[in-house]
Amino acid sequence: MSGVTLKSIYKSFGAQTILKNISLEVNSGEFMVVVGPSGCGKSTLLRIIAGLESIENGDVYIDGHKKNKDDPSKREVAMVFQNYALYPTMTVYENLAFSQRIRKRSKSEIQERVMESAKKLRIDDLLDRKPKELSGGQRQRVALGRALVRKPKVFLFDEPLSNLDAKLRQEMRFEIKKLHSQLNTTMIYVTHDQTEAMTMADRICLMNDGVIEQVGTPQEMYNNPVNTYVSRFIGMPPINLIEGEINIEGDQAIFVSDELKIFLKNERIREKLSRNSQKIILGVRPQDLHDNYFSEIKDIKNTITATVDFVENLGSTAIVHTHKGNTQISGSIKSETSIKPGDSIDLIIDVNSLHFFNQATNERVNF
Amino acid sequence: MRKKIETLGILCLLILFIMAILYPALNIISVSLRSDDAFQTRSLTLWTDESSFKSYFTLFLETKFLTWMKNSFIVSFVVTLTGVVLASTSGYALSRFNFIGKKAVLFSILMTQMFPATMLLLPFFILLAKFELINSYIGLIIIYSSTALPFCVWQMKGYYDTVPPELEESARMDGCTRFSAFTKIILPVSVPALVITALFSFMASWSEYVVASIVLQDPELYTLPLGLKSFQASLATQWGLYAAGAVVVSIPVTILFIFLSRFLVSGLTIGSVKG
Amino acid sequence: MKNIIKILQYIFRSLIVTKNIVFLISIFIFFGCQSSNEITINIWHQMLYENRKALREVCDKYEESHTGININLIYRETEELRSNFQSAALGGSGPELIYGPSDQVGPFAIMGIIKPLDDLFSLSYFDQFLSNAVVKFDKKRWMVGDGVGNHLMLIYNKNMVSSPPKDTDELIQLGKSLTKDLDDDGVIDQFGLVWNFTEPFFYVPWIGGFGDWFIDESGKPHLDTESNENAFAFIKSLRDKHKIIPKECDYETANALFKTERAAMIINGDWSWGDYMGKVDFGIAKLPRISVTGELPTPIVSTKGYSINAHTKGEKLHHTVDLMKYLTSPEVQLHYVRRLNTQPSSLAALDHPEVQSNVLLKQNADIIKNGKPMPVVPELRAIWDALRGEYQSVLAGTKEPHSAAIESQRKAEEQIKTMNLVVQPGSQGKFIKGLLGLIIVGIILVLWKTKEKFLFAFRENKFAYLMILPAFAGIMIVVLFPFVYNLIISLSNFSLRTFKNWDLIGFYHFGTVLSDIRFYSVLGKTIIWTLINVSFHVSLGVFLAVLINRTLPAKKTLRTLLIIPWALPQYIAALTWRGMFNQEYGSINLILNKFFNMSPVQWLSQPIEAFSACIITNIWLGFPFMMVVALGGLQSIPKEMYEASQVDGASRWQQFCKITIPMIKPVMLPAIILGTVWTFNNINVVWLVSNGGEPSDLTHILVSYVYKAAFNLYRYGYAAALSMIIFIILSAFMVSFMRKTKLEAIV
Ligand SMILES: Nc1ncnc2c1ncn2[C@@H]1O[C@H](COP(=O)(O)OP(=O)(O)OP(=O)(O)O)[C@@H](O)[C@H]1O
Ligand SMILES: [Mg+2]
Repeated sequence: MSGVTLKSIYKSFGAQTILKNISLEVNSGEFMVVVGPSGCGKSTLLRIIAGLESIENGDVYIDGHKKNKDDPSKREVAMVFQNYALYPTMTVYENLAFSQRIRKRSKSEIQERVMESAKKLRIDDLLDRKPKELSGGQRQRVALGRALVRKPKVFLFDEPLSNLDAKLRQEMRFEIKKLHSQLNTTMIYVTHDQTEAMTMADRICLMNDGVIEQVGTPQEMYNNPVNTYVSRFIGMPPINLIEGEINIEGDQAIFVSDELKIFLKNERIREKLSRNSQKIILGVRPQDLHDNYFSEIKDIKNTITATVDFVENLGSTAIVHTHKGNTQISGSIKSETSIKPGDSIDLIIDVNSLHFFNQATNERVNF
Repeated sequence: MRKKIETLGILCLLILFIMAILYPALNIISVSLRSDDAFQTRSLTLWTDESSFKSYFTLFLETKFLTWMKNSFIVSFVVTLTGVVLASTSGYALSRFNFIGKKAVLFSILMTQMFPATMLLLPFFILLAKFELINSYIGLIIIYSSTALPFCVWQMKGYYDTVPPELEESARMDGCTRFSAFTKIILPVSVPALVITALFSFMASWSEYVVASIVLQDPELYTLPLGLKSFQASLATQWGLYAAGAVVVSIPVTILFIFLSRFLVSGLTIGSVKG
Repeated sequence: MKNIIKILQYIFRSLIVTKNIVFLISIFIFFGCQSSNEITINIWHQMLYENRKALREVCDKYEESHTGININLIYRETEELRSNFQSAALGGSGPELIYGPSDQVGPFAIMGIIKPLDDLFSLSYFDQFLSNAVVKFDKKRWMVGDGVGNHLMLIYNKNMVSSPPKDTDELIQLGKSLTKDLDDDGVIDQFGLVWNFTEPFFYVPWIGGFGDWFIDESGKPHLDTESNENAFAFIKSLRDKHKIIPKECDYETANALFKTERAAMIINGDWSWGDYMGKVDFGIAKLPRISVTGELPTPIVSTKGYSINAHTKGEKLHHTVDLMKYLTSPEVQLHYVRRLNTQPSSLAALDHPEVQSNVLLKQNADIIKNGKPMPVVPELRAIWDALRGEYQSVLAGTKEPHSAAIESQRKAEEQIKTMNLVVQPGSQGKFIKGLLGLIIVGIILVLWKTKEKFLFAFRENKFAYLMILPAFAGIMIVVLFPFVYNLIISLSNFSLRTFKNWDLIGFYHFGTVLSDIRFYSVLGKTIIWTLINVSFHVSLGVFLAVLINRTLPAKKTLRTLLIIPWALPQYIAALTWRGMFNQEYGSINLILNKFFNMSPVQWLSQPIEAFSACIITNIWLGFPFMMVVALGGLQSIPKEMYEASQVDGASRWQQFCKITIPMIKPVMLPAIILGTVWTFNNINVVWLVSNGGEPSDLTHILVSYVYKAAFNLYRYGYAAALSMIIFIILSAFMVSFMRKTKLEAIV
């Protein structure tokens, strides 16, 4: 049981409160990804777990023990920093061995541990070099290796891949994941890249402006975002959010906005709806919009005819950005399309996978 | 090719400049070698028929030059050590921590340099006399250290500011205490700044005259500048000796610089952090 | 490198161990204290090099015959001797005996820091000396001289001058025939006559030759005379009309010229004989009679002697008196005669056959007869000061002799008035006292109130506070007391007449400073001085650092050569520069002439030129420091940053502006602030290169102005107030500079 538990953490710098009532449970062996926009307090949260920042309120448990006041050196957590923070005056070997030397382990034991980690990360041929003689990816690996050598209870990663090029990033992503499955140690990984979050996480913790919006598996986050914020953050390209209201006309529930009229699946809506008309935000993921031209299913009632603004071709799929009146809508369609800006396109809405949010609170409404 | 021409150009420029710089220095050397004990020279031939090393012999054999030199070394060494130790620690605290009064400390340290030193001599003397520190190196060392420190503290702080704090945070997570993270990781990275601090502290005490002249009154305790000044009298200076002394005095500084400048190379590079 | 780090780490580690602290302290104590039960008598003196040796010899002899007595000799240059003794006496200590020229008696007696000798010695003791060797002031005796003289005479090179000129006409004629351009390069290589003619002491004998004297019996200045006017014109004619003396000539230049046989005659004092012996075959003579008046110039004759510190008491006083008797005894004086040819003051020594048969001394005694005694009143300094300024204006050609004579009298009277002024404490003084008391109480109250907060903050950041504490405490302890002391002095009437019983008077001195137009002109000069210096220091320093930071052949050697100006002692470097600026002999003019075909610049006798000379010297002295700092700052810039910007197509200049400057800013800004402050307050260079503000006190910056006020005219209160104003100006500068450069943000 070497998980991490945070209980109502508060943190402020001066008058500015950075973390507000953060509670989070990271299970033992779990790969938890913390995402959120820049400046929302992710690094601060990690640093609190590491013991590099003090907290005003709340508790930090590591491995079941309360560690609020413990020095970082006593917490048995390792951290890979946003900038790798390799010791510039030491060789790679010394960098890896440093923590062990501090703990006064025997030479042979140190050697053994360093070699083990170095092999795992394929940096065993770089051990005599100084950090400045390494490439970005190699530095990244050394930073990882430095954490690995210690065999900590918890690994903390603070955007370790943000400065690497796309290909290398993918490779490293894979490598870190592989490492996780080998070691089965608790890892908390901070990023503001939602792809990284989706692909790597066992669970995702989405933060915004010092609070946690939602914690859950990638699938949960995608399928059941608790509010508009989460829905917008998770999923590429971002979800379409359209303000409007649901009206009951006869026994049909209809979403109406200035430009759109969508006939919803009826079943539970009528029961749940208190009045005959309710203001709502409708969320449609671009993936749930289909090009009428290619689509096998046709749903004439729920087809929107919109004007194309531009097309982003991603290879297998293409994203069309369109508008109808004042409403911007983007859809994910087949890349074979020959559609051009200015054309009009018919998009079928998949009414089975719509999301609804309260207009006042932005929170999810489940029908 | 372009690079070579450029280097050559720079070299020429530097050499021209250095010649202009060295001219007065050569002047002093030529005075020290001349026999007429006169200061004004018109020609700049370093060595004439009458030149000799007589002044240098006199300096070492007939005066207490070696004693003064030893004294100066003791004082400068302790001041340098104090300077390096205190400036590196306090500069670190000022760079890394936010605490009440930090700004006040930083500003007041600078402000202490703003009062004309001439007017401080009288109160210094009163103070030293009260604590019976006249004729002792402690008084001298305290005054020297604290006059050199403001610059050293600021300059260390400025350098630490460029060192990413993640370095010592890493070390702390690796098991270091705050203090050992500082000594084991940050100090080695800050060698260029330490070198400047050391050089400056050394210089502040090595050729300081005014304070020494009020604190030290026993010729056995004289430091070099005091000794040198005694070759100079209002209307009859021993120019040969004085110049020779000046030349010899500047040698340790030069050696120190040559030694230290090896460390005046990049302590911190992109290697530690990504761009 | 590793070793150094290891050593440092070791030092740090060992510093935590208290045992080592104890060890360090014991080292200090070892250096600091020497216990002994011997009696040590300290003598501060300003003797020339050879005289010092002779003094040591006689003291050794005394120590031999008086076991348990230790004599400690400390040399200080005349001006320093005076100021250090004042400070020491105020601090309640200082040497038992002080040896110096008789003119220091007046101020010391008024300040009450030397003892009257009448009660300590018998009358018969005083009767053993020539009357002018026992210095009286205010009806008491204060000093006994061990020799008389220090008077000016004509010293001539026997190889060039067969018989000395009898009068000034002869002098001019002879001078003309001896002033030659030997190698026809348009520069005169040999002069008929040289001397330190710009200094009042070397000038006043001529006033006597024209009839009057510059000071009257009661110590009042007597400068608005025709004699003074004529003497002004006479010296100027020697230089400009007859061209027998150099255009610029200070003491060192004159001495060098004479010693290297490039001058046939020199006007100098008896102290210089020792220097010339064995180098020049010289003869001495009276200063030549003034042809128009037919009178002889009257050099000042003074004595140098011993006075007793007012703090000397008890048994020590007894021994001191005994030692003083010995040091003035005929025996010692005869020793000096043998060693140094000094003119004895003891009647017995004068009668001694050895003295009687000494040709030089005999001639000397004849010369002395025409001398006038050195006035001992403190007003003398003010007179010198006023005279010097006006005289130099005449020489620089900016004033006519007539108006200069009148002006010098007016200035001398004015300065005497300010010097002797005692501002009586009025209601403002009481108010200030109350205010100070209130402030102290207020500070204590505030500290008490915020004690909790401080304790809390301390506990929160113990590590940080502990790390700063030693440095901060050290700096504050050293500076705080002197600062408060000066603050109080600046509000007081501390001056010559109130040396021991000063009182608070309020903001009087601040008012005086701020309403004085001269303050603003000096401030303006100081700002120009600082601006030019600092901008050159920084730009040169950064420029060279960038150049030298590249890969260059012989980089290390070049780098080392560039710091040499910093390595040389500032004092001698400044004097070397002064020599280089000499109008005829300085290498600067020689170079300007040779390579740029420029006519000689009067570097040291014209105000703007002299100021430029100071600036050039200081630039030379100051850039290596900035270079080293910049070099250190450059090391924190990763090479990759340049490479990256090169790829982006940045030019060198853009790289410099966009990378170098911002990256070295954090280390350069403090250096620039402090560099500015140090330059603003750098008294040494200005004082040495311009020889204390020459010409005519027009090259002063604020600190040298402070120095002059405090130590020349004894206006401590005024000087302290001026210092406070400097402090305020600089603090204001710092704050605004930090705002401008956003340094505050990174604090
Ligand atoms: N030492 C500090 N003092 C004051 N404010 C700070 C400090 N450290 C961080 N902050 C502020 O706290 C907020 C959160 O910072 P944090 O570094 O945790 O963001 P982040 O989520 O990691 O952002 P990024 O994705 O850009 O790294 C920011 O607004 C930042 O300005
Ligand atoms: Mg971050």
